[in-house]
Formats: sequence, structure tokens, C-alpha cells
Amino acid sequence: MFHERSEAVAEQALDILESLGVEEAAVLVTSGRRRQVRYSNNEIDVVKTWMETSMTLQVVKGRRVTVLETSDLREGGLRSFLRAAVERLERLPERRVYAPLPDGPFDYPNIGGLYDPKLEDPGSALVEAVETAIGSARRAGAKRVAGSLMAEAGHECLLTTGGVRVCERETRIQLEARAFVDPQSTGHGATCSRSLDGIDPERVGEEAGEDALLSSKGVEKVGPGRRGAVFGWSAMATLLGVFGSMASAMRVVSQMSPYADRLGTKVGSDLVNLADDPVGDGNYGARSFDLEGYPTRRNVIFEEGVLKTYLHNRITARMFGTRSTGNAGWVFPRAWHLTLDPGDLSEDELLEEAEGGLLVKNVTYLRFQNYLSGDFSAVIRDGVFLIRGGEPIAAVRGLRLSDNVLRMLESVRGLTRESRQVVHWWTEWGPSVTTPMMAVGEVGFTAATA
Amino acid sequence: MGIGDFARLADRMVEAAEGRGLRYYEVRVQIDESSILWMRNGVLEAFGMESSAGGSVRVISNGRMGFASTNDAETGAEVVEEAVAGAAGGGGRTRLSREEPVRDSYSSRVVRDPRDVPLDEKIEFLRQIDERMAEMGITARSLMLEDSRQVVLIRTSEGLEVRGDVTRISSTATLTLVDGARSTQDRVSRGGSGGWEILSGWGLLAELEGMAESMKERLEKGVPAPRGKMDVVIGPSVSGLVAHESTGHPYEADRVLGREAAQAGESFVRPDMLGERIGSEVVSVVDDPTLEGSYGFYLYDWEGVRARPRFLMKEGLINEFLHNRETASVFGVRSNAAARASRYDREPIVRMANTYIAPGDETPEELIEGVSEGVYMKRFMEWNIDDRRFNQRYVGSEAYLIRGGRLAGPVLRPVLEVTTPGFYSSVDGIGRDLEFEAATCGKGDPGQGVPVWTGGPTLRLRGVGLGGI
Repeated sequence: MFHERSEAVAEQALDILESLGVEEAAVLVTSGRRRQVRYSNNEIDVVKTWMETSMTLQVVKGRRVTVLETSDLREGGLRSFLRAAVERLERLPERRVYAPLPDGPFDYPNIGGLYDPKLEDPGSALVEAVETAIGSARRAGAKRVAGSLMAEAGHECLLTTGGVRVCERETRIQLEARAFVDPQSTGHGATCSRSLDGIDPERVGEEAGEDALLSSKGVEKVGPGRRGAVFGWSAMATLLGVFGSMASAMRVVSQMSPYADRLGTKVGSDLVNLADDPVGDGNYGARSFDLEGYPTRRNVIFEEGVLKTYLHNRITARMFGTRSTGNAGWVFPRAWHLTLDPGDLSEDELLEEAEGGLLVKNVTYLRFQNYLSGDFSAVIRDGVFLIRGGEPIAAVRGLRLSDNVLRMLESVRGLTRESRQVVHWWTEWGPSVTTPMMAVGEVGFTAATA
Repeated sequence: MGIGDFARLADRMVEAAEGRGLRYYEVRVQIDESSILWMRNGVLEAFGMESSAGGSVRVISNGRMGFASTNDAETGAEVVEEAVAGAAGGGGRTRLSREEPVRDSYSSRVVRDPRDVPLDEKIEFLRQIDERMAEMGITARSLMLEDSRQVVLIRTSEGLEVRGDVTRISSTATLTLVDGARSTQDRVSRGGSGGWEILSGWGLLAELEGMAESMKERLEKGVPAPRGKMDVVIGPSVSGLVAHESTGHPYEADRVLGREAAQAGESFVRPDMLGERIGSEVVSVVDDPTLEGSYGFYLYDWEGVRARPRFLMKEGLINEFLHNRETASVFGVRSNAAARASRYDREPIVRMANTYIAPGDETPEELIEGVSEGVYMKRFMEWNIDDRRFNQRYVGSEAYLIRGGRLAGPVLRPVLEVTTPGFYSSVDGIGRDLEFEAATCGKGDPGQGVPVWTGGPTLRLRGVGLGGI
């Protein structure tokens, strides 16, 4: 019932804006149904359903730009919201650096695997997936399991005054499980897909349960300092989100990125081949258009460690004297789906790269001391193990990752040949990722002193 | 903003829920409107307006909760059907504490509605700051100004009906100073509930001038921070964050019970630790939604329970957890009104409001005078804390060496990495200079950012370690 309305509502907004004398506008209407199953202590706490249609817009009048969002789409509500917005818009100063919205229509990439009709009405499948994850985690040794599953089926339509009229159906599902043997012995698993059958609840639960169990088997005291490290799937989702999002050109001009003034220079090791890939079939963050109407495309951010591009919208592209990369969010250019090219190592071989170091399964709560220098720290959890003899042999507690974005990229020593698509609750910085596990030569770890 | 059609949505949801004979339902309509300005180096990069309006219903059936929401003001019954379907199957453990159903309303005190303030005046507020910071040599200035209004109407099967209406304003400045290859950053946030008139009480420009001076001073004269065991004095900005992160969060009863285990995490505090000593006798921590003018202000929570101050830590003892009706039921207590929802489409979960360390009676200077060798960490940039809220880290931005009870020049990046009991047990002196900073606290899945104040006075810590590598 929702997607039929999207185009009509977007059209209505453009009509209202035209009647208000607006020169340029991009209107995105998102509609659909999302369902979530949240669970903890091995039981389902709440099942949620959202039935929503919302609108976000960029509106331009005389080089004055505003970004708007509303969920009140009744005609009267929309009209009065837009009128108030345009009245305020007229009071803004003109932008000195400006580029108009692009003239469409465009040919958009044909991306496969973005929609699965099974997710329109998944029935009991969501609860069953959660129960499977809980069951497999417990069989693997967990005493308690918590997490959430989110499934969505919807429709996005973008209409612009530049003649863009593009709609996309989309489905997504993500599941994460955190397993506990005791309060400090935990493991984490996460899976995501564009199709119901693309997630693997059994494996998510099992891996979380296994890490929790191994964490409980014995603790080795390891002090602060620099040592080699291997980062697991969940950890990589957080780290890549940061490494990729720092390429947003608006971050760069705001002195909020360590990549400022480094375009074309060697930043990472030869193994660092990082791209934003919204056009890969089935990628969780894939989409065919950005929010200005440009077709999306694969943008290589790092090639063999060399910083190749920032991510641009039309206005940052004008600031840098280049062209949009199809990464327009509403204000900040943003990555859609980050992919780090895999390496040639098995997981066992990767662990050998960090002999005497740490296997870090999850990274959370990453905060910067200085965005420009790239100094940060983060909490490590859900399985931090000492690697000895090429194996994780014992849990390590109480350490914190404390390092620098540039130093870490430069110190990448190995990647697995297996890649996984991951997104989870703590990937607050960036989008979904497709990533191998990664070994880094020297990583800083600190500990509480009292 | 009128709640108009959405109040009728509430009527329809109530009617549908009554028609199904549900034992418990809770219907809420909520409208959130905000506008935001972002100025970067004197350029107005963004002006945005957001309006979020809709309704939700929660039902409980045999211990399982169902929640559904919509922004379609013309629907009603369908939302209730979805919530009921979500609760189908039962078998869970969800119950609610018994609370007195009230019928009441409240609002924040607004003299000059921020929506009536011409944009030119708001832009001018930012421009004055930007120009002054540029004049002082600050390389990059990122300045935000946001105002918002939130209207909430809650009705339940128990006959409760509560309406709240709160207007808020906040401003955040992030500054970067670059000198050759060296750089430093700092940030400050102020906010509160009320009208445009509250801005004048913040003294934001003066504070930023002080911050800019200190940034220049530390780039010119800063020396690496010492490491090892020593006395540390922290400013209100740091102590307020500590109150929020290592008392507020671990005392959230849903974390204690494990409901947030996969997301924000659990707590090192167990239910049987109520009454245990966690800090020195001079430390008390309060969370109080009822502070007039506060950023986290409300008088009824999102379950319609009357708000009151919560004394989380009293003279160093764990005293009280933060509860909504769900967790209160497990603990066999009454809710202390900590349920909040950031939008109409979010479930009410346990949240803080305005969490602060209660002030003492010493001046900051007196606290510093009592330190022979140590560090004064006035402000911070980087921080984080583990998901049990036990092991935390605060890295100073503005910080000074203390020698012989006096400040002896700036130090760079002092790292206070400490456990929660280690921190609170080391406090031996508390200032009278209680200050509040505005913040957006994140929690929940999907995430819910809610406005809070973090507050504290200057604190003196004895014999803690400064670390880092």
C-alpha cells in the first residue's frame, strides 16, 4: 500500500515547491514496512513493526539551500511545512560556492539482488531465525544470548527538478547475536543480506557461542603496549566504516579527516584496496542513485595504499574542481557500501602473521582525540585472544585499542581470502561493509591504571 | 504545531485496542519539529528543518511485548493489529509495574519561541562566534545551532492521559587549530529547555574565547603529559561525562537485566549491589529530569509516570537504579519515570535525563592548591567506556601540569584510563562549581538519541594513574 504512493507524494511536493517559486529541488520519498525482533537472555523481548512513509528534500532558491525532512505527508501538513521552509530559505545568505542539481534523466546501473519478495511478508521466518541463532549459540556453549533481527521491505523514489525520476524497490535483513558464558566472556556474530535466505542465523549463533566459550576457558594477562593484531569480521565492520567515511570531502574541508592534503599520496600498505561499491550485486548498501540524482558507481578510495579520491556530492566537487562521485547524502557526501579487497591468506595463516599478538573480534565505541591527525581509541570486546602457535589460546581482558588511522592503514600486513558482508549496531560511523579479516603489524593497546 | 489529526489517530488506536479487549495497551502520538544551522568557517553550509509526526501502540500479551507505529494519520486499527501480531505467541517475561494512572499536562517555560526568531538573528549568533574565533586565529570552526519542539500525548488502557510540550535549544562548537604539522581540536556544547532567551545565559562566546586561548597555548608550549600514579583534578566538563557514563548508564535497570546486552551492553552493577560502596563518602550522583530549563527536562516520562530526582549514588553507596515500568516490575519497585522515546516510532526504554555529581563546597583553586604534583584536566575530546561501564578512558584536550598547588603550563593528551570504582574511590575533594553541558545520549535499537545534561563540579582524585602509550 505504501510504494504506490511514493511517486505521487514526491510529485505533489515538487508541485507545491514550484508554486512557492523554488528553482531547484530533489525530493526523496521512502516508504515501506520494517520489522524487528529484539531478544535477550534467550527470550524475545519485543517484536516491532513500522509502517512509514517519509520525505527528505533538498530545496534551492537563488543559491540558497535547505535540507528538509518530514513524516507529515497529508496534503495540508506538507504544504504548510514546505511554505514555512521556503519562507525561511529566503532569509538565508547565498552560497558562494554552488553547483546546480544535475540535469537528468540518467541511465542508472542495473544492480542485481536488491529485492526479495519473501521479505514483504516474512511471516514467522523472522522469529524462527532468531530462535535458530539462540539455539546454535547455546549449543556452542553460550549460557545467554541477546541480539536483534531487522527486516525491511520498501521503496524509494527520487524526483528532481533536473528531470530525474527514479524509483527502486529494496529489501534488507540483518541479524546479530551476542553470546555470554559469563558477564566478561562474550562473543559476537553478525550477518546481513538483501534476501531472506542470504543470512545464516546458525553460523551467527555458533560463532558467537564459540568465542564466548573460548573467552571463558582461561585468561592470560597481557599488559599495554604495541603488538600485532588480527581483526575479526565485526571489528572490521567498525574500522572500515571509519576508514571509508573519513574520505567524505566535506569532512576533509572541515579539517575533520586525516586524509586532508593526502590525495594521490601513499597512505596505506600495498594491501589496502578500499572502494565504495554501491553497484555490486546484492551489496547490503547497494543503490543505483544518490540523493542528487546522479547514478552511483564504484569509487576506489585506496588503491595499493594510495589515496585515489574523496567522496563527493555536487557542491564539494565544485569546491575541489572535480565531478561528483555519486555519493551525495543531503549535506555530507557519504559512502554507501565499503569493500576491502580480500588477500590470499587463510584465517590460520593470518593468525600466524600476528604471532604473540592479539585476535580482536569486535571493536566498538570508537572516538577521536583529533580527527585531523587521526588519533583515536576504541573499546575491544566479544573475544580478545592472545595468539600463540598460530592459535587463539586464551582471553585477554581490560585492554583498549588506542592508535591512529594513518598508522593502522600503513601497518596492514595481511588479509584473508574470505570476505563477508557485515553491519552491526556499533558500525555507527559508516555503512555496511564487505571485508576480509585483517592483520596489522603494530597496534597500540592501553589499559586502566587504577 | 497542533497535535490535531494525530490526536484523532490516538482516538482511533484507543478505539481499536478497546475493541479487541486488550488487557494493556499504551497509545502515544508524538510530534518532533526541529531546525538546525551549521556554519563552517563563516559559510552557512546547511540549514535544515525536520518534522516527525506519528503514533505508536504497545501491547503486552502473555509476557511478550508488541510495538507498532505509523505516520499515516488516517489509520489506527491496522497499527493495533500489527502490535497485537507482534505480541502473539507470548511466552516472554515482560510485565509492567503498577502505577497510578494520572491525567495531567506540562510544558517548558518559553518566553521567546525560537521558531519566531528570524533566521538572520540565528545566523548572526553563529557569525559573531565565527568571526571572533577567526580573529583569534582558529583554523577551522564548525558551529551548530539547533532548536526543537516535542509534543507528546500518551493514553493507556488504565485511563492515563498525559501531554507534554517541551522546547529546546542547543549549540555545539568544534574548533581546530593547525600550526604546521601540529594540530589540536576542542569542542563545547550548551543547551537547555526554554526559549531563545536561554542563550544569553550560556556565555558561549566567552567560553570559546578561553578555549581558543588554551588551544594556542598548548600548541605553543604544551609538553607531553606525565604518566604514572599522581593526583589529578578534573573540570566540570569531564566530571559531568563521568557521571553520565559510569554512574548513569550502569544504573539503567534494563542494562543491569541484560535487555541491551547486544547493543550498548550490560552493567558491572548487579541487582544485589544496591547499598554497596562504590566510591568515597564525598560523592553523590543524581539524575533529575525535573530541573527547570534543563536539556533533559520532563515532568512525566513516556509511560506517564510522574518524574522525580533519582539519587543514584548517595555518599559513595549505590542507592537507586533508573527504571521504567518493565524493569521496575522485575525489581518489585515503582518506576522512577526513566522511560523515554526519541520519536513516535521508538519504544520507550530506560534513559537518563540530567545526570550530575552533586557539588561540594570548595573552589577549583582550593582543590588545585591541595596537589603538590599532578595534572589538571579541564576539558576532554576523546573518551570511551566498555560495555559493562567499568573500564573508561578520558583524554584531556585542555590540561595543565600542577606543581606545588599551582598550574605550571599546558600538557598534551593526558590519558585518564581508570575503572569506575577506581575513579569514584579516589575522589577526595569536590568543588562548588557545578556546570552542565548538553549532550545527545545514544541507546536502543534502532538508535534513539535523547537530549541530556551531563553535569559535575571540579573534582580532585588522589593517586590515580595517568596512562597511554
